Amino acid sequence: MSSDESDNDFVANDVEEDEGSVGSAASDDAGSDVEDVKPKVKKDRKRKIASDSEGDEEAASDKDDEEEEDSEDDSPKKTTKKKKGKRGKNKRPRGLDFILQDVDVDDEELEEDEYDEDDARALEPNEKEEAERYLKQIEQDRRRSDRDKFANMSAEEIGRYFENKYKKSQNDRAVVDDDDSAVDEITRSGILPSTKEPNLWIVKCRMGEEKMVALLLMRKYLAHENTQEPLQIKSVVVKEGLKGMIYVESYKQAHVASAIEGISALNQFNITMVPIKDMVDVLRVVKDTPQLKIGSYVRLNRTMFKGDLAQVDLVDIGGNKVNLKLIPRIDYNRMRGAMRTEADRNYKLKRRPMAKLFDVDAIKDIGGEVTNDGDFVTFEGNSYRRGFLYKYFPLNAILADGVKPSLAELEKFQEANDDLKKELESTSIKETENPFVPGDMVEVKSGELVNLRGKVETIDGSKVVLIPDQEGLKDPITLNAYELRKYFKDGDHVKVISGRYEGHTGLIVRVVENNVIMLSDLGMDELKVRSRDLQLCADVTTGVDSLGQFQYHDLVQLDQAGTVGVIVRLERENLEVLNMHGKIIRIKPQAIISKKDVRFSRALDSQNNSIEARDLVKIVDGPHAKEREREDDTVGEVKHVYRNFAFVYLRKMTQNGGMISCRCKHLLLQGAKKQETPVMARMQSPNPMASPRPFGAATPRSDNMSTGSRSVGGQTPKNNPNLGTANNLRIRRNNAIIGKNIRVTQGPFKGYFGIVRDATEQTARVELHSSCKTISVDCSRLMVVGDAGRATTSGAASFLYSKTPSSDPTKTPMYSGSKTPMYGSATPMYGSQTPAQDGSRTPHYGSMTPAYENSHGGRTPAYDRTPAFTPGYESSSGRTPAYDSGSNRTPAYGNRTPAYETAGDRTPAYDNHSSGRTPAYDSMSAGGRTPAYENSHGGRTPAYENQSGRTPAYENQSGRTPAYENQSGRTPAYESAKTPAYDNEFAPQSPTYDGPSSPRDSDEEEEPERVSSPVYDSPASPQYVAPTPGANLNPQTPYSVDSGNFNAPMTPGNAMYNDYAAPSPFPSGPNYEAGSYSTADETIPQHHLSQGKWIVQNMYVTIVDHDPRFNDREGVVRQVANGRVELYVPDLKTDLEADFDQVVPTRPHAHDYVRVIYGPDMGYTGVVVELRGSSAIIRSNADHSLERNINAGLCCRMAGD
Amino acid sequence: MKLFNEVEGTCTGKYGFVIAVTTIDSIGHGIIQPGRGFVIYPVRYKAIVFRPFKGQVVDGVVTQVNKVGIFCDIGPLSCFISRHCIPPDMEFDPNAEKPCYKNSDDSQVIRNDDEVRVKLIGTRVDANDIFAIGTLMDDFLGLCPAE
Repeated sequence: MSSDESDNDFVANDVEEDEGSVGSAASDDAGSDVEDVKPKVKKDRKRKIASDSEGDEEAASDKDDEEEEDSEDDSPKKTTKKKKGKRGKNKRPRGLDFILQDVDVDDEELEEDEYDEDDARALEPNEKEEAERYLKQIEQDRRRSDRDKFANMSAEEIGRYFENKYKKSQNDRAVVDDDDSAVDEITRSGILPSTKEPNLWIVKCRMGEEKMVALLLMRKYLAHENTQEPLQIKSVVVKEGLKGMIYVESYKQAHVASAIEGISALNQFNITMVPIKDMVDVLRVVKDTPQLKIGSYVRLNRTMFKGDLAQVDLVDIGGNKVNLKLIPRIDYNRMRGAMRTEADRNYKLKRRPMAKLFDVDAIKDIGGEVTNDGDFVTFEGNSYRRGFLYKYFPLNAILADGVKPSLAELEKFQEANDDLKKELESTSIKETENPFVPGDMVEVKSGELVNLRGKVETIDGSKVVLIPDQEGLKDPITLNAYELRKYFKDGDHVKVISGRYEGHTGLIVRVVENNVIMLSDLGMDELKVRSRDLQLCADVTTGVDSLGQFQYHDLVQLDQAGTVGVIVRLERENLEVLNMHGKIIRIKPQAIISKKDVRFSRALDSQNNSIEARDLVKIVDGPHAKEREREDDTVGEVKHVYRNFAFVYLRKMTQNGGMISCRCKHLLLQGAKKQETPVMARMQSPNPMASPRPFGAATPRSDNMSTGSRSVGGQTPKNNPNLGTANNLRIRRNNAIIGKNIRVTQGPFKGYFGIVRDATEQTARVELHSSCKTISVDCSRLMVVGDAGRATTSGAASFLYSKTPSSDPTKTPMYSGSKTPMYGSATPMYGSQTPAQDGSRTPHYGSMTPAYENSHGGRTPAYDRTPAFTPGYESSSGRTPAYDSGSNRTPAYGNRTPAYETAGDRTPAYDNHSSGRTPAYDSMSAGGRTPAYENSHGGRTPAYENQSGRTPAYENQSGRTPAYENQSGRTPAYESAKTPAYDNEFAPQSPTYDGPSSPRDSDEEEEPERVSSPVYDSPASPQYVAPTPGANLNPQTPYSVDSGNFNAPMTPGNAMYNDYAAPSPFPSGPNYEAGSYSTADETIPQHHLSQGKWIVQNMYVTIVDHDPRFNDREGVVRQVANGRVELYVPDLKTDLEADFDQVVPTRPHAHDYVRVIYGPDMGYTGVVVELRGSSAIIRSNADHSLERNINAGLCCRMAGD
Repeated sequence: MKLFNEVEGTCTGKYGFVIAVTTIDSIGHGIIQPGRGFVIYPVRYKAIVFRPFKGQVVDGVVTQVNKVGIFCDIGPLSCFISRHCIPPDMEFDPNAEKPCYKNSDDSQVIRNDDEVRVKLIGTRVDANDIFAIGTLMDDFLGLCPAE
């Protein structure tokens, strides 16, 4: 042992220092680590020189060795050297090599100074290789010789050797004393301990006396050095922080034992050897001893708090301990102090108590004594503040590396959530794993190369090889991961790989220090993320769009009270939900009650259009409406409808991912509604509100279109057909089908037979024959068997046709029964057909008319309706002149009521419909009004009731039946263009009508208008009656025929029919298709018309429902503004303003300029080349070669230009 | 070939927005679609395209101004300028008649429909759309004086 004055502690420290510098040298100097794969020219050159000088040196020292072998004079300087030598030994069991190396390095360093300026690249590649080889060889030789050389030397000799060796380079040493050694990997592995080297022995020692013992041993060594038996140990190592043991280096255990003999602090019976492979580790100095910063998080790995998270409150490096703030684990079950019993005394804790904030009251309850100490409270020797335990722990009881506190844990540590966020951002948690991946752009954040940027090439544990992104620096550099940080530029597209926003992608908007502000791809929201959580990424993930069962924009139920919300952000542990009241709530997925499926729900917007998911809406009111006139309308897409709330997605909104919640009443449906699916859909629509529109829409307009003004009267009837189904809005039992044997025609149960146990309009409960099971099946998927296999489609039309009520009176109830007045009505008609001819009855009818008059001024009920129910009707608000005329006739009607009463035959039909409402009919007596009307007042024919409760027709409390119109002789119906097709088809079917039809003819004669409409000619119209609810009314009309008053107009019946027919809901309805009506005139949905979107400048429109003097006149659209149209009426040479619903498109004639205002060709303009029936061949304005065949019903005449 | 009008106004990630088709180089042999009467012709054509690149300086029209930043349209391309990319001396003023960004002495006010010169700092290219983010934090960027 050297006679060094320095203690072992010093040695250890020294080693540490040295090692440290080795480490940094290695990292600064990539060349040495890369080994010979990518040798560094510069280094090589240096090394070459170094090894040269080394060689010289060795030679010299060898000489010295011999010369000075006997000289024992230990000058202080020499001892220093010696110490150095020892130090080397300590550090590496084969320290001699290392020392050599050390010296080399010193030299090297000098050389380096000289060569630093040189351009390393000046060397030839092969020269490099040569140098490398040379170096290796030398090194090998040297090592071999060293080994040989020292093998036979005693410690003294070795010591002397070094003395000499170092004497020479003393001056040099002064300069580079603490310089790093550039030991490269080869050398390093070369100097690892082997079996030939002395071993390390662990000797147990009395705690706290380690350093003292080491000094003692050193003195002992010195004392025995020159005696017969020098101590045979090589070194003694005391590790700082390692209590109760020291290391002794020696070849044999016996040597150790003899050396420590007589030292009472050491236990000489317990000497254990350190396995060779562990020897390095014994003395490895961990560079990054946990650098505990106040406020950082650590975990405990001992004591009852093992695994608990703690926050560093104070660090006492000297005392080797830290004061931690953590959540105490106090056993509140054990009684303390005075309350302690014998049982408690023996009480053994079986499990560690729960971690819980300190609760003074609870402690007092169990008899614990709590004293105040400043702002701490003390209990059982521990200090608590604000519920946390503050306690000193030894450094080795904590784990500071790789502590990743979970959010939940952190939350416990935070009094307020705001704190938490701040905390999270500032928390620097040491990562054990390397956050980089090859390809990352990184920036050096410390060391000489600070701010150097480069691309990560490979990763090796905690080392990162990067290619600098710098002019003139092309070689890879190896750096420690902790010296690097990820580097991003503005505009990079990145993905968040961990943390709250994990999974999001976005564009970087700004980089601030370690934080990056990025614009998420998902919404327009900005996220603040730490750069280490990011990764460059090319693809746009849809973001975190799903978390377990939840997806972005899902509708979820938040509580039992029915609060729902839409997920606007998914995070790792939380969801952000925008609830229907517009508030953002952060909740855990577990807290969500359920997902809501409201795909098919609908609601009414401010104009009573039905809206549903995926509709485009404008926000016209409420907090989200545009605040200023000049702003653009806020238009969004409805994502969900829930009750009267809609969740609307606005593209332009940045908050909440563009999602807002608003009341449906604040919305306005934008544009045309998606085309409804065929009848089925309509029938199925559960939402009562929804249905009216389609009907209304579809029918009335068509009339208008066709002939313009007159359509009005006709509209109601039209509706009727639909009503059959439409009215069912309120769910009613479908008696017709109950008890029937059916077969399921579609769906999973396709092919099954069963019997209908219960049924509504939409669904039937079917008891299957085959399996004992009752299932719900959509009515549209049923087929009645044993009944001509007719599909039960609720579609009235098909049924009707197939079974005309007339033919089969018994069945009529069914039809009407549940649904359609039409059917009901139909029966009467048929029945009535006779009546019509039947003079006797007419009086009844006559009687009714007065009623009408009274009730109204002659308006068709349809008109009366509130817009809410049937938008379509509104437009038709105009009064038909017919009414006026009707009034004249009233007398005729006057007497008929009785007839009804008498009509026992028919009542059944009615009953069905009304299902108990027939009384209305009874009431007929009242004031000469037809009971029906009264009812209607009450408002409703049963059929109608289904729906909103009022049949459009009836609703008019005004009480005007289309019939009136008929009387007036101008039923819009007549005017309304009926497609020839209809006529044809129908004609054969209704021979009965023929009679009535002739009256019409007479009408026509009387009224030129009618004449003009080709429709009239067609006798077919009567047929329509049957299907149309209007028909019901019609029955009454028949009398009119009889009544002389009516004269020609008697046609009413027909007329009525016509009217009804005219509306031709059928054509529009799918039913028709079923009934082969496909050729029908196409119509434009009412809502489309009333929205006015179709109106453009220079369009010819027909004025309806306006001031009488304007009604039915044509006007040219001058301007469309603010929901109104400015018109010029050429006939009167006046300007006029009208609402959208006061104008209807003018049907074009041949050679007119037209514009297609509905359907797929919407917007198409051209000239009608030819008009064939309902289809017009239109030559495009833009391209004269282009001609299209478009239904004239979808076109509007334009002013020629 | 008016079919080419179908191409105009579209956007592909690779080529950007197709503004106009200039010439048709060649029309290859058509292939009849099996089962249908349609024919597909391979067509080579030249078109003027707008493909924004990072770092490009362009003029845009402000379409929306809010507290997170400014949205502007650069022809068919919509571009977002984050608040972080607007010079810090320009503050958002939500109370103005039109929401705007303006600097302390009101010498520069950016509001809707103003023209701004923007440097694109990033683009996000989707299958059929391109989105860009821009910055005003550079020399000569910002409001363009009205001409």
